Amino acid sequence: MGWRSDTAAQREFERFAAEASDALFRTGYLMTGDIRDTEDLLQETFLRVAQRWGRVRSMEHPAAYARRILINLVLRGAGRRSRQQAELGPQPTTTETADEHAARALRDVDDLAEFRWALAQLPARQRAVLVLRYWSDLPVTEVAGLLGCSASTITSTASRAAARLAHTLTCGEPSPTDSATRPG
Amino acid sequence: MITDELENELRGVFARAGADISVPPQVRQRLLQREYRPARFGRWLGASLATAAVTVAACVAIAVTVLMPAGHRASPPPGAQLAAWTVVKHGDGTVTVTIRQLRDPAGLQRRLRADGIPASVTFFGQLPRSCHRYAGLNVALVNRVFTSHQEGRFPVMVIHPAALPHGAGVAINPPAQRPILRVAIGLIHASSRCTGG
Repeated sequence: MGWRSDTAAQREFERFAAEASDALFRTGYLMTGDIRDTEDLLQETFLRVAQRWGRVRSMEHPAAYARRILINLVLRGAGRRSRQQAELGPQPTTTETADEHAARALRDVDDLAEFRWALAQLPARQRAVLVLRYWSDLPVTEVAGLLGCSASTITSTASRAAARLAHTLTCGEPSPTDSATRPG
Repeated sequence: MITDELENELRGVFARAGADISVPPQVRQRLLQREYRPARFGRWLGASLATAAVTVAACVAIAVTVLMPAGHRASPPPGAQLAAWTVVKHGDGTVTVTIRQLRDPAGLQRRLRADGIPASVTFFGQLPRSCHRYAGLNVALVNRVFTSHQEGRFPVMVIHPAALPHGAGVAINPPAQRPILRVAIGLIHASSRCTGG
């Protein structure tokens, strides 16, 4: 107890932070497109994990818990609760053709910095869906739980976000709808 | 719905784009060198630490509160860009600090020290472990060292170095990522580890 235990907890936390920082940074950077924002958010994430370390350290996946905090901070920072429905709500049916076009555009990506720029042009919650599904490789149901919507909304949003991404990649500029809904 | 082909392409391009991101060494260093103070015993200890933090805040800090969303970017006039913070040293020795965004605490700390003020600046709401609050602190003293006002939405602090007692420095420790930007200021013991110099 006391000093020795606190030191052990400190070291344990530091080890966790060192191991988790790179993956969390990449997730944060893909979601924000901004290094300084990512650093700020990651610092806040670690601070919150540290405050709950006594509980978090016994979890099976502390890094997943940290990632959840990070995602919530990103989404809260985007401050668009009112726009959630517009971004994640029912959308016009996505056609097979649109998916095929998007797949082709993504297959042709050779400049990864350009891809990240295009990703950053999407509304934050669409970005979150793509990052969580295809970078973090979370199941649809888990992404739905994190973002507070249905599984079908996640799949339709992913399809729509991919189509926007493809448009931005091929045209070199965000679609007009992106400009209208994307937070500053 | 979304086709398997598109999902495969998305996985592929995200794997490449994610792997292509390198964490800047200085960012990793800053992140990992920060004192996070993990709570050893979970909720109960967390609660007592929170209480302690509130008590410390009440003792050492006064707060300038301004209604500004934490992640908010200032809207500069066309052609101009507002810095996250500005520091202006005046002829009478006072130093004016205007904080618009909680960015680059190390830079603000460096700037204040360069202007002759022993300072510790963090933007996560706590004093660094190497710092200790000034023992002779009282509200009257704080009010002599700091005056504050608002310029538009931004808090402006005026530091009066001449009022700093020997051996004291200033602490600026607003909590990051809060809905309201609160600029908490206080006095600490000056030391090479805490306030430099």
